[in-house]
Amino acid sequence: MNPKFEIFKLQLQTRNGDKKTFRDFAEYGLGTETTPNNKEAFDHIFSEYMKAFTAPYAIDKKTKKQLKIVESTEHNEFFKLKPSKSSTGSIIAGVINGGAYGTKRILSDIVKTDEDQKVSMNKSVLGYVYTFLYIPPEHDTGICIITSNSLESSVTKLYRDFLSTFFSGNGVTFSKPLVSPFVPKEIQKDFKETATVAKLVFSDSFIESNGFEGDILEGSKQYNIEVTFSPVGDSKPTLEEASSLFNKIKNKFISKIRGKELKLIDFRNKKLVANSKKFKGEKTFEWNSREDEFIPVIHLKNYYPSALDKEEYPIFEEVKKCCLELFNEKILPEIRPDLNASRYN
Amino acid sequence: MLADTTRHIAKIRKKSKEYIRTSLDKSKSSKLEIALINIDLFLATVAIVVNLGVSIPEIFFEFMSSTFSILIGLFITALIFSFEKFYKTEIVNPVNASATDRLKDTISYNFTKRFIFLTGYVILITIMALALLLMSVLFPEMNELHIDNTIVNIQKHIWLNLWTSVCIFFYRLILFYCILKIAFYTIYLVSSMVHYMSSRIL
Repeated sequence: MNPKFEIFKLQLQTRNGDKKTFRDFAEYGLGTETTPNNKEAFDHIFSEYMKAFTAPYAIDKKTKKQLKIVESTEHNEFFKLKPSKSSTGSIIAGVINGGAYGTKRILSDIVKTDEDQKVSMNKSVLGYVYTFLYIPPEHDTGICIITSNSLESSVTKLYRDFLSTFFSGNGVTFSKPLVSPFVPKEIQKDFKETATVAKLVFSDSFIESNGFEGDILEGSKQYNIEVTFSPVGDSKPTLEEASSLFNKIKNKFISKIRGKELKLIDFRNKKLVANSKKFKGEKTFEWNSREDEFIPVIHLKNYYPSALDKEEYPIFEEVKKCCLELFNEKILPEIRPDLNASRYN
Repeated sequence: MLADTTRHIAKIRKKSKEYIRTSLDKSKSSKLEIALINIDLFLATVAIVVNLGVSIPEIFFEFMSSTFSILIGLFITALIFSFEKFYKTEIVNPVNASATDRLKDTISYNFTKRFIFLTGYVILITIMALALLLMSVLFPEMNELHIDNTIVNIQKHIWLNLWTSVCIFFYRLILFYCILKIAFYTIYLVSSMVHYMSSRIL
């Protein structure tokens, strides 16, 4: 399981390049009869957001996944925690449902072994996902936090696409917003200061017909190539040293494709796995290299163990508190410097 | 009038020190950094004064007097210029203003206030340094360490010699500290003004 928080920054984009706030989005993107004030704009976005879960774009036909809010206390165990508005007028947070469909499956009971049911292709099996959306009416940048588990059952990508479509509104004034991964600087710093390198992994896949030279590979098939650098011994390099190690090896020659040198830097996937021993036990983070910025993953097990039950399933009431704590203490001061700014006396 | 002047001078000194150590969005204060700068300036002053000769060349006083006079004129012009040019709120409706506009407005307001008070403070220090230079011109004996080195006179006037030397040492210390501080604040004002103006254009 190992649930984690995934955080995204959401920046509104207009077709003519003007900066517009979420209040403007409510007025021009969703359409209001009169010019709304901040509260009216937020209320309007909230009601439209809730309606959007029944819109066609809440279903992704490519990945065969669906987002929904099951309106039934009988089936939806966390119906009481469905998305609601905060009193501050800028946060929509709660548990939504999401999962996959389009596979022929059998619904089986592990206790009553004879009670099997056929699940048809158009039936989706929905799980529970906690979502947190910060959309200040007076600002153009928001934050989205979502809990996710393994890649297979995750609906994060669908939710990102869902937000992208929703915040493009009617498509006249606004285009799709910029949704980019975000980790508070404090967590990045905390991680960078305490972590050591476990391994550097470069991986990619190649088709033989592209022309491998030499006797590395034979036959016209697709191959995965993975090069791993892992430090040996007790004195493992720190992350600062890892950057210089990366710079040293990134241009090293590995093979040739059509006579061209293939360097490590050219590999599609470049991953740095690091461990941090700051707290009890060992934390493991997988890092994605995106424009030279490393993004540590916030696993609930490491950062908020109280939000998980014995079977490591999220306790959503606790997740709600932790999410709010993470947002108020580490994210808000970073994305809203204006809230801490005041005039000199 | 005298009471008002004293009160205003005290306020300029207090506020300029407060503003220079507070970030423009007022979220952070860097007392330690400012204290370290002051210590550095003081140590540099001590190093200069200790290595000074018995007398300071007369040309130095002429040169510094001219420089300070020009600086005072320039800073007063800058002060008047900043009064109507620097801060102008672009927020038409404060209730519906965006977060970015509010932040820009706060920073703009704070920068203008910091610029006004710091410029005023530099003018005051420059006037003080000019007055100290003037004393040296009026009383040339302040310019030289007169130590009577005959054994009889040393014993006879030991306290007087010591007193004179200490006074001159402190006079030089204050004068050069003022000069270094004026130089530092002038560089700071010019660089921050250029940075602020370019950020307003871009």
